[in-house]
Amino acid sequence: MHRVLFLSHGHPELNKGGAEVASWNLFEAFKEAGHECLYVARSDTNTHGGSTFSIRSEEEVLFHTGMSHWFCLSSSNTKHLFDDFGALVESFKPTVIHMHHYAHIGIEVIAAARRAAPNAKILFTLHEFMAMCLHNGQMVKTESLKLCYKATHADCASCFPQHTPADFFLRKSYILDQFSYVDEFVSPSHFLAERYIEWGIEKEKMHVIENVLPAITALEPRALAKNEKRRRFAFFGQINPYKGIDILLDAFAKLPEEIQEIVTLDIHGASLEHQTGELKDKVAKQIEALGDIVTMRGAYESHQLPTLMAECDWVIIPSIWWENSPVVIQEAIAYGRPLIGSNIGGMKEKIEGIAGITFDARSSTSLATKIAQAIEVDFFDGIKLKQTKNSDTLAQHLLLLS
Amino acid sequence: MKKTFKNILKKLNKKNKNNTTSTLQYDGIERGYFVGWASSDVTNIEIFIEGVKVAEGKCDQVRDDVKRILGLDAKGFHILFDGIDIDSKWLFTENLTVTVVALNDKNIKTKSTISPSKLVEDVLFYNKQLISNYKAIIVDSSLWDETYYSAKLKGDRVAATDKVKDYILFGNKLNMDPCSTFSTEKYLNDLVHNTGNSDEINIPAIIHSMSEVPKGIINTDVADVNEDRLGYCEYVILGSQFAMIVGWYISDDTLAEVSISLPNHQNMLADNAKVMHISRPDVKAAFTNRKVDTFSGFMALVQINENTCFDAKSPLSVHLSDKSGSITMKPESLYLGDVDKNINCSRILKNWDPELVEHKAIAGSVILPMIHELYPTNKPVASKRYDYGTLNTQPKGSIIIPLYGRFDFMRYQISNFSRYKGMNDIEVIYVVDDPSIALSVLKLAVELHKVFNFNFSVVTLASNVGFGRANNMAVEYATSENLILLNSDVLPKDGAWAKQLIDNLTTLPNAGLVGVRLLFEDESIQHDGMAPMLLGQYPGLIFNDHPMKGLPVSLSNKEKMPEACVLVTAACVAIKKSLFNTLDGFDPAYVLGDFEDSDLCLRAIDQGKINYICRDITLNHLERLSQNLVEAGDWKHKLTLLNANTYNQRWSKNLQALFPVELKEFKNA
Repeated sequence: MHRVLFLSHGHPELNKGGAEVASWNLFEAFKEAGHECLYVARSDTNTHGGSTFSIRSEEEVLFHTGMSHWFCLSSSNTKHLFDDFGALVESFKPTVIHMHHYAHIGIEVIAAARRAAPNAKILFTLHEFMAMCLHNGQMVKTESLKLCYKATHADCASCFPQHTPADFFLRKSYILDQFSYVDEFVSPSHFLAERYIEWGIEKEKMHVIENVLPAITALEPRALAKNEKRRRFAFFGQINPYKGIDILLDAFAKLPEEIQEIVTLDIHGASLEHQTGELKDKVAKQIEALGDIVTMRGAYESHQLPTLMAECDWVIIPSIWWENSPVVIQEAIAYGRPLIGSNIGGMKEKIEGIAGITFDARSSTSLATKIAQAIEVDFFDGIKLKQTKNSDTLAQHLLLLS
Repeated sequence: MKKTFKNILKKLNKKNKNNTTSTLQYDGIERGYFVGWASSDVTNIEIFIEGVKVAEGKCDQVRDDVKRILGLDAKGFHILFDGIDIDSKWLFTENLTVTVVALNDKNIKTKSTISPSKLVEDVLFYNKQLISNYKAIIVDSSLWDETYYSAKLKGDRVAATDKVKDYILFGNKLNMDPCSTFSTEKYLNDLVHNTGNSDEINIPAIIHSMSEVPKGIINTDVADVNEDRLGYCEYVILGSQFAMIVGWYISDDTLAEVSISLPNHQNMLADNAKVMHISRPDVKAAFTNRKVDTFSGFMALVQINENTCFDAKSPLSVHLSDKSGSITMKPESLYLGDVDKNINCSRILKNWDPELVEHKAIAGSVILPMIHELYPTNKPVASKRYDYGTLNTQPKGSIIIPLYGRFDFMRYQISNFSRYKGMNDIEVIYVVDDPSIALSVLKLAVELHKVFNFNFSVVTLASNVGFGRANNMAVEYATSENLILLNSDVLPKDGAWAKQLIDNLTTLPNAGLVGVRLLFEDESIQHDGMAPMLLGQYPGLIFNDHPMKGLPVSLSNKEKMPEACVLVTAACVAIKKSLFNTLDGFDPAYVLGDFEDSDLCLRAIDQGKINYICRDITLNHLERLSQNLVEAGDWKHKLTLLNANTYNQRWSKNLQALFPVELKEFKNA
């Protein structure tokens, strides 16, 4: 039996980000496999009596801390990291420390973990490009939002002119120093793993293992009425400038009229409220123009997913950034729903030849063509989803503990 | 279903109207920019001071911290504050109101206050240019007389520490003059008269003209133009050991002696003046009716008698004489050497023309003594050592790292040293050559020691002593005989470099200085051994060159194994402590840096040592990109030339012998 201490930059019940959910699912799965687990999640709320920690249950600890230097992902709060978190680690005596982020905590937390548990294995799961890209880890250029293929110091400085290329050199050097305390890295996609290896993480330390999901039973394809086409499409996720919702709506606007008359698009989970004026206005106008075709379905909880998935034929993921291994792709596959995704990064890797079809990223015309193709029943029936067994994925994760 | 969407939109619009999600935060002025953030529905903002619009711009900065802390999607703003918009009447308001308003909804706004003095202190731009650039031009021109200008100031502005900034922001608008010989008002009138447009007349135009005005304006009323001897003393810079006397002199005979005396006629001189003749075409042009030598200007260094009691209120007299007579006058301005030493240094250097053979030859006797008085190198400076962690009493080597200005480099270095285990028996000593950052450095040291568990020491100095002397002082604290002098912006690539370098230092035959290959952050060559270089615009002066700089390493055909190399940079160099002490360390004669490393290299060779470069040891050096010798104009550049001159006087013969090929074209005048 292992004693596994998870560290996440947020608790999934408080903030439903990909990394939070992925680490939580793994935490639940490890417990079920008989390991002693503690889930430590960073929180930004104030706490009782100014204590560094509070709890949600005996095995869920909230770590109330913050980061002081976003540029090099650093925290000067050595008391929180080395004294308080260090003491927590020392008392739990983990055999494995399963880290999922440093954001909001400070990348020095890795050194603190190493100091407090010199013999524990430190695993670190990479969820996006934050270590190599100051632009929220998106590997997308500032201003133009063009895709970025390589983080070079000079290019980074042209995205952030307030910093020099030398500053970016120091940033990388510092982050790699902290990463040197990690024993093994986990990346849910080959794409992300390759980028990080090219950037400077040792190849020998990198393991590509998919995120685990809670047990899901696959659904039958939606029952069709006579002569009905595979006409129901769904989008699951947030609306932000990187998710490509404007491209999705534009693609529907470009569909021939006779197709527009039959297709529908359900947008789940997204809310326009937190978006900037420009994107919000654009999307609101697009939605209005599409009339009955689009329905904003609002937020959902994971237990509602089976019903929502059952209603649709296809799931579309039109992100303009690379993505890593979006949970929506894994979920769609598990529920037996094929996908149409952008042909870049993690989406290309996880969809092409496995779970559906791809379109030219950022091209609404290309997406419209694929939608027109996808409604045909024969085409739909020709897509065979390659299910990866969740238990296989979990086995790989468990293997890495020893 | 359409209705669902409309409901959402309705809700959204309502929310906006209720202003529940709209937030605007103003954080103040940071490095000349207005900063703050706004919720994402605000895309553009306007900023007003006392109701006058001073800036507008976009909210386009990434502010994920706000999202994370407040759960609010926000964008930051970072908008230049242009001093051109400052209204001079704000000076008389106790607290100015700053209002930030969202462009799309005037109801979204926030207010703050700022005192006028803080406002003046915070503004760094004028007409979208850095004020410091304008300042450099004004101070470099001969038209800035701080004493004269300060005397005319009234009210709150008297207390302002930066008088040049006052002139740029307010003085020129109020028609105040920067010195007795330049009329801002007359200049403006002429310009309006010539261009017929008063709108475009502003400080940049005035400053531009100041930079073009010849070195001085001649006051032809000073004496009867037909006198045998005419002369004028424009200013005296008075130090405790030396005084510099500057002016012009017209006579049939050459100016032979310059002296200075107190009101009681007591001669202040300990020795004869050393005179440098200066080209003054303006003087020649002003006296059209008589023959005037082109070099009628003079700058004279006099050594002051130790026993002289000087009272700032009693006027001095300056005496100019030739072989057949003399004249006496009062200097127009008197500057105290230790007040604003950079401006005094700039005044002196302005008269020095490094293209003139005579000027180069006597720079050491006329200019350097005064400059060394402004930047003393022999004054005792207290130092204190702080240790973080238990120290190794017998380290294999001692690394000395001066910190100046940017001390955050220490974070990256300590992180790097701690990552690689090879640094355990190496002593690391930081020396803080900047008292203003000492406390912050000590605080950071505590943090870094806790985070990285790496042992090191910090030596603080009571005053700024310059790169060379800071190294010299820190070396006294070094425990090991094997020194590595390292710049704070150098970052190793592994943990083996220090011991490898020390091994080379201890095993290479007769080693003096042992340098390494340094690479920029893009892995191109920064330093691969230095070589002497000649520059077309400064004939007769030898500079240091970094051959192959900026090129890929693969293009270098140099030997990777250690080989002899005369000149290596001190950015990363190993030397025996005993040799360093025998050579008396870096020579502080090089004011504010430059050439002290090549000087040390040549002195080691003079002692019969061999300097080496080890190209199999590579580190990254994030050298500042701003070092460009060709960009002429400011006084620091002149200072580099003065240091080059000192270096050449000492070493040009040796260098010619050591580098016959590189210096084939060199004509030593």
